[in-house]
Amino acid sequence: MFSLDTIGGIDETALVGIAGEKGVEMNTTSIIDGFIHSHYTNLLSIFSPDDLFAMATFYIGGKINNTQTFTAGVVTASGTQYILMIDNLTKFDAFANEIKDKETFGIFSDLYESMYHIKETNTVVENETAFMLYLESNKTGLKLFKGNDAFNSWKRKKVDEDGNIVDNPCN
Amino acid sequence: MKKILILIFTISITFEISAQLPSFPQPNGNILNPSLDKFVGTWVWISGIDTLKIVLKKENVLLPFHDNSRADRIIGFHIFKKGNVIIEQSISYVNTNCSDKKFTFFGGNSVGLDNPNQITGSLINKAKNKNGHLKLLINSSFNELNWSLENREGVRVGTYDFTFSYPLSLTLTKQ
Repeated sequence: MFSLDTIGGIDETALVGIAGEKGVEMNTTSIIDGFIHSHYTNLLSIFSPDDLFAMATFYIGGKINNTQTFTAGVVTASGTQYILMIDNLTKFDAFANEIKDKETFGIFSDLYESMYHIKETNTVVENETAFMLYLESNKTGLKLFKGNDAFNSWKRKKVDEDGNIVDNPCN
Repeated sequence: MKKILILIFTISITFEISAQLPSFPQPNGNILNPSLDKFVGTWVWISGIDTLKIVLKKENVLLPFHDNSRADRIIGFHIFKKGNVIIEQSISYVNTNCSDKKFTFFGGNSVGLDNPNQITGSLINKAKNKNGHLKLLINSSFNELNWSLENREGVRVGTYDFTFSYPLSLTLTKQ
């Protein structure tokens, strides 16, 4: 987790997950500007439903400092690195409030796994394509950026009419 | 002859590629899934004083946010008891529908892509206030379900209990 300080620096809090478990706890009593976590070998090559649920929980709990700059990141053992940001606050607000109960979140998790077929065993391209369709179809109000290996260039992605992943240079 | 072979090869490749694509929900669409029928029913596991019963129902569900799109899914209601003590239950809501949001299991599989004898989904462990990832594999006689439960992967906001109220692995028998 991290917060931006008043002189342009970053105050970060390093967290370590429990060995053998596929999750990491993030506890904060103050507002934050984002979080970055990792998926180890044999886990998803992209954000999981619980990662989206975490964004929604931070938002509903009033823990997001600035919805225009809040950044959720993931670095995976598949060699991918992505950032999610809020693109449309009205849509994200509706999405976050929809998935906040466990029953509806269960439906969204099933959509992710069974209907959009985003799996640990998929290729990076398969998961990227399906994930972007999932974000769009569920009207999440989120936008996805993909980083290069040096983590110094991030390009917004979209799926074009032919189902190919292309850069979306709008923002 | 060469052109015919090329055409057959092209059709085969096209079929193979299209057969591997998921059936993404479409506006005003409806994804039917007959492979879910064999999971419907009442399933029970008993070990010592522990009893776990789950009732699975098939429902054609209206998907949230998907512009009048529907799909066949399995919803479940369960009870877990230690002796006569109920640890948690949703089975009293077994006559409710998906839209009532009283279920504690929601899942299914992907037509043509996943093993038709297996469903996956989200199980709500009410006593722990958490969701888990449940995999249910049915045997060839369709009278036993292998239950495999685990935590989902991802970020948890706040303190999180990584344990469940019941075993991660067990076998249910159809009643």
